[in-house]
Amino acid sequence: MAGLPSDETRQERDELFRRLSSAASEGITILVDLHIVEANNAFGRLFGHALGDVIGQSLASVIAPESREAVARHVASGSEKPCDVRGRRKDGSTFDVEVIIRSITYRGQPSLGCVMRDISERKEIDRIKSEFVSIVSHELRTPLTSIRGSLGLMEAGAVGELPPKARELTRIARQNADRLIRLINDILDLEKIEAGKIQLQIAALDAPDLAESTVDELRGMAELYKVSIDTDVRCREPVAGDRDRVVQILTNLLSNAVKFSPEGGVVRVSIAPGSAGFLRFSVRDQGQGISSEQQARLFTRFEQLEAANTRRRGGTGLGLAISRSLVEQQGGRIGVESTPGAGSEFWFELPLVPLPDVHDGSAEADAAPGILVVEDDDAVARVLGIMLQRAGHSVTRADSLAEARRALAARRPSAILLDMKLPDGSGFDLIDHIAETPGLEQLPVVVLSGVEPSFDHRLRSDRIVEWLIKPFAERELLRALGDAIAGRTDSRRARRRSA
Amino acid sequence: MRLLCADDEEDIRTILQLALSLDPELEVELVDSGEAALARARMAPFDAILLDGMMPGLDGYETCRRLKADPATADVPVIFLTAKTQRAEVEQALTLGAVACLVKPFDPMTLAAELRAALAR
Repeated sequence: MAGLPSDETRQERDELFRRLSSAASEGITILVDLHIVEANNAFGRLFGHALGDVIGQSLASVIAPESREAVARHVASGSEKPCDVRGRRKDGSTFDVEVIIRSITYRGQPSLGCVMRDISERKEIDRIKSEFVSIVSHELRTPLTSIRGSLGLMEAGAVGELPPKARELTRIARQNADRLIRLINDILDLEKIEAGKIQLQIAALDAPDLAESTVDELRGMAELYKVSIDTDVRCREPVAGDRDRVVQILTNLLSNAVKFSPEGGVVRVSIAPGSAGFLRFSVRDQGQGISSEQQARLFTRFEQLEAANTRRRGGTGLGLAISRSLVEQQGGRIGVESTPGAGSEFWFELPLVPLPDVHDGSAEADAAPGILVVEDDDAVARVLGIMLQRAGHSVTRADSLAEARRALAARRPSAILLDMKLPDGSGFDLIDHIAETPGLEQLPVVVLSGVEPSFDHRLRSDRIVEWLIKPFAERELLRALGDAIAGRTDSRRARRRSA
Repeated sequence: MRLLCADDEEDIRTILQLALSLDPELEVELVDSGEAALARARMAPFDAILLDGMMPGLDGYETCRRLKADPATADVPVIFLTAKTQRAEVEQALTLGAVACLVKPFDPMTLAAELRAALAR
């Protein structure tokens, strides 16, 4: 039966909560007015307190002084994302801790439920990993420079003519030094890409020009393998991508195609319309083809078909994994179509960008709804920009609250796409700013968040037209914006007028 | 063309000497630190300076900054030869006034040509 729980039911629930939380390895606490009113044993252990000591203490007592401001901001923001801070044990030592906070009701009063986890080990692993990458990057390359340099000079006869057998052995050693260098470069590249550490510089690219220059770079290699390359351009629309990285992907696909083509074969590079809103680059070879089982594994690390054959041709087994990561980070997709015995076609698609003169100077430009994207993550902002521009919106981007306030002072957009977690505060600060600024009160806001809205969030939803959970589909975003700009804005005005 | 090269690794200096001597028009002087590069560059005229990025003491970046801050050496083109190849590091070198970044490991047979091409750009 629905209704308020009886005392007995409440006691049962309290008991259930205590039993479950006592079994948890994370520290769990309930805060009223930011003071600890309940805590499990793990919470006491985490901070070196006897359980009895900690009840009644403020949250600040278990947070290192340098993190207290960050925790206060996190609590005020209402964010439900994990927040990494420094915790403080009873003995004064500090450590890395992850804090997750939820608004709850405890014995009838608004409270906070808080889960805390020691992440010292994870942080240490991250640090060791970064250090390792740095060591690989420098410490391995330095001796390799000496090895590769010495072998190159000897092989070329720069220090005198070598006997034929010694020259052959030197060539083998130099080729394998080159292979080791490529492998180190590929491992580092993949690590950086997958850790999100690469900075993509997305611009409108001239795909035919980019393809032509890549093909020119590989003509020497193609001649070596007695393979010819031709190009077929069927679309000249600009595409959104990082030029260096697109060249890297195309070089990888093209050099694979050359290596695995028979002598006298032709490799064809095509640029053509792809799926809706995308441009497709494809590289077709006349090689042996790939079975469907092998195709499924091709884009994973160290996956080489006929390993001995591939090694003979100098592959590292990472090129396609790198290409896939790079394509996906640029908002595209990659794939292969192949029939054993009939060659293969590797392709990737990148988003088209609207031609720059679509709106410029026309009456339509004035009517085109401008969207302010407030998002601190460059990759997310970039993808949003591409989606919105493709739908005909002009876009202004702000990466912080301060930048968003400046953009709003300069020009009123039609709607705001708002990330709630920003480097200088919460998205709610901007929502409050909008509410208090004459001329902006009606401005619709679409929230982009990693978490579902909490009860507190819903209370403030008057200004939030839509709350989208990342990741979201392009059509979902565009529908929400359409509602924001037209339908919902109107209905809200109507609601206010009638109030 | 007079070229000053700074690298803290003795083996790499040996290879640089051999690789660059393949170009008969290059007159190469090698030093083992950023401090020594600064001192030599102030004492004698060079047409270009090749700096290792990572060196103990004054690293290549700080050496480049000081070369560019000194009117006596500011106009000498600086090229980095570095094992660190991340875009941020290349940008840092270019921001400091270097004309190019060449990558380690390098091909000794083409190093002199790459150096000349970078200077021509």
